[in-house]
Amino acid sequence: MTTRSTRRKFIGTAGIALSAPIAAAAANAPALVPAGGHDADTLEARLARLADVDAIRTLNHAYAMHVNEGAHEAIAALFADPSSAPIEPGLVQMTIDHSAEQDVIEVAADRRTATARMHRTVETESVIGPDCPLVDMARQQGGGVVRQTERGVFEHVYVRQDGIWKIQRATYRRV
Amino acid sequence: MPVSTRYPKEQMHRIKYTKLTPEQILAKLSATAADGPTGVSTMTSFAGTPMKVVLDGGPALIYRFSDRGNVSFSEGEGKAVDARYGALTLDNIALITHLIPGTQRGYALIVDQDTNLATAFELWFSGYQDNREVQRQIYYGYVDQAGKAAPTERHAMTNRIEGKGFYWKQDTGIETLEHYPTVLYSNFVELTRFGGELSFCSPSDYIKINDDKYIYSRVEAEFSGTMTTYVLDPNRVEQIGMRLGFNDSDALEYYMFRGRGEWTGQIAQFEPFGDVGTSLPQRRPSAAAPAAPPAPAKGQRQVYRPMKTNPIMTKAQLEDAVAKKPASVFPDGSAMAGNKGPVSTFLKGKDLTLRYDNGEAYNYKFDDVQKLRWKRDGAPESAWREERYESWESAPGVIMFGHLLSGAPDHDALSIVVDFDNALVTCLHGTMGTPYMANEAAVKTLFGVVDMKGLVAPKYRRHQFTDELVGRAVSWNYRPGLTSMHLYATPHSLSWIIFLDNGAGGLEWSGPASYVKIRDELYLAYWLEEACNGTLGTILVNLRTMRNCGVDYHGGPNGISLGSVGAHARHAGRFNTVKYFTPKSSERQS
Repeated sequence: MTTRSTRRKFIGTAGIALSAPIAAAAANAPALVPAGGHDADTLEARLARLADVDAIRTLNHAYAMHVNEGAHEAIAALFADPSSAPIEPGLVQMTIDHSAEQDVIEVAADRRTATARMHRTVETESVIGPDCPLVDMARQQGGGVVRQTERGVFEHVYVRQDGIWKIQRATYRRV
Repeated sequence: MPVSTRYPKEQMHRIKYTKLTPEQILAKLSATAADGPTGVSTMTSFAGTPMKVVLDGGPALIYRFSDRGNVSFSEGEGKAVDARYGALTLDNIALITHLIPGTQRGYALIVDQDTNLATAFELWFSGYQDNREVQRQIYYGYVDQAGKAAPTERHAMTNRIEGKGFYWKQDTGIETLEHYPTVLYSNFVELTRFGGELSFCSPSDYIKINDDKYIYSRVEAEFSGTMTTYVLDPNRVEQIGMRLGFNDSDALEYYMFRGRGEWTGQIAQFEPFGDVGTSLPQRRPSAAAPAAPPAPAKGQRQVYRPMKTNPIMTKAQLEDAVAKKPASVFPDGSAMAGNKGPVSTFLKGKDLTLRYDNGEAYNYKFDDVQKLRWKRDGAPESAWREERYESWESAPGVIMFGHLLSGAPDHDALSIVVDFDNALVTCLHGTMGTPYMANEAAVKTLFGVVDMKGLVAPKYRRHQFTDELVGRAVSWNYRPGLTSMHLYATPHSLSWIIFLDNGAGGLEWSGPASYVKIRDELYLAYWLEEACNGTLGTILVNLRTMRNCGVDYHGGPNGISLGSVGAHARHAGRFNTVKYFTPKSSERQS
């Protein structure tokens, strides 16, 4: 089952506390792999990977909710380099999938980078142009755009920065 | 000599309303506050009735009515002041209004004496850069009943009267047509005060008291700033109301009225079933405006203020803009042409002359699908000028085309409909510039005939102006995401309405217009966005194919443009208002 997050819900329930789980997940994760490495099947290593995956899921959740709010600054803050955070043009809504457990999240053996592949239903919006009086009037009440719903895949690359997972690169393609 | 209709020297959108200062407003209010609202009908007395109105998010309003017209009033714990009030009742609904002496504030209070639910409009001047524009904050609440629990119900905004229309005649003799085609705006025709030629639009509030009584309120923003608020009973078509504001002579109008009317009809609503409009659709973050909108300020509302985004240009400024940029003539991708029909090849290769009854005649050679030559009839061969044009065959044998008259001093543009089956032509001859603005189009309608080999033109028959569209509402979808609705409100004006996300009518504006009948269910209409962006819109409306084609003519900082229009239509209903536009004789009025 999927539900669409609305801005109202976001403000009311999740907005204030969002960055806390990410930080907590990172802080609680076992230490990074020693230089010499260790057996990937040890309980400690498996726990560490699970903690990373959980932190990345939380990060993805935050990304989706900020997209739905149109909070571009908050989205940028999720990136390793906020100044060059790519915001998918026209992306205004994406589903928050309770089945996000099915996202393919792979953490590198050294646990410094990771990738994720996520199927989502998104709503895109393109500005109607060129300008004309009617479009101008529509914009004044929040319209003047074409909205479309589609399925697509997000492919994110993550990097651990100061102990916290950040998005290094985000791409989206329609399927 | 008695006159039956008092036409104003200037219509509402042309009046240069004085920018009153707060001091001027306070002085005018102070003189009136001592007297209270005037009225023709006998006011209701609440003498001896103490009343405490508890308002959600607002101050408690405490009234001690001493006699008919006098009240001691306080807001919350504030000091009580003596004020003059007026009150009228419609069944058990009371409308009470008063100013607060020494201030630019006042209230309009509506109380349902059956349920004790109340709606209060706090009113004030000097709350917007145009000080004369009445501002309002609406509070919902109840009349406190000692020993009784507060009711949980409230009056609420509604779309349950969206789409309705009424003719009203107040006890003052003022007659109006008032249409409620959106949840944010209304459309009104001042039959008495402004001669009933044009309709105008104002931001409006619609509040449900119960299924039989509603509150309507508008502020004539961008005009006089006057507020009109009334309670209406749509079954019996009765109203009690008040009006507060400064007229075009800057005189304060503060009066109450009782009115009766006629129901003129109900047009369509486009919200999802079950949506009764108790709130406005949440304005979503968009690509154009990603940030979440801030919490609205007190009294904030959506108001279309077209002159804010359409600067008035002088002739010199316009000519400078025209010189800097070549005219844009039927560019690809016009926002309003997403659903236009295919360009017609009908005219290609034809030579003809269009002869208009005012003596003008134009020779045409249609060299290609989008290339024509024209000259005035009788001009030498050297006078031929080449233009880019577009044409559409709206109905078999009926072609609409448009082009500029390059070299014309007023940057003239023609929108022409030719009925080849009847050898008839109607031309909407647009020119750029009016006495009010250089970047505002004017238009004249020319009727005539086609002079072409193989056609014999009629001697007497012509296309004619028609009122067959008057009162109709038609939605126009220009492309995905861009839909408006036309309300052909009077024989000489139309309104355009933009829909909100949920399909409710939203912002609305109005301009002069006219309608010519070409054939049954085929009409040539124009509208002028006067005191707005100056555009002349011309469309050929086909109510059988439910489609239009047309030409937009505009002048502005980017020079002159001529663009195509094409949209799909849906019927949205009709108000039966034609009879109100018949010229009256002075005898009938007396």
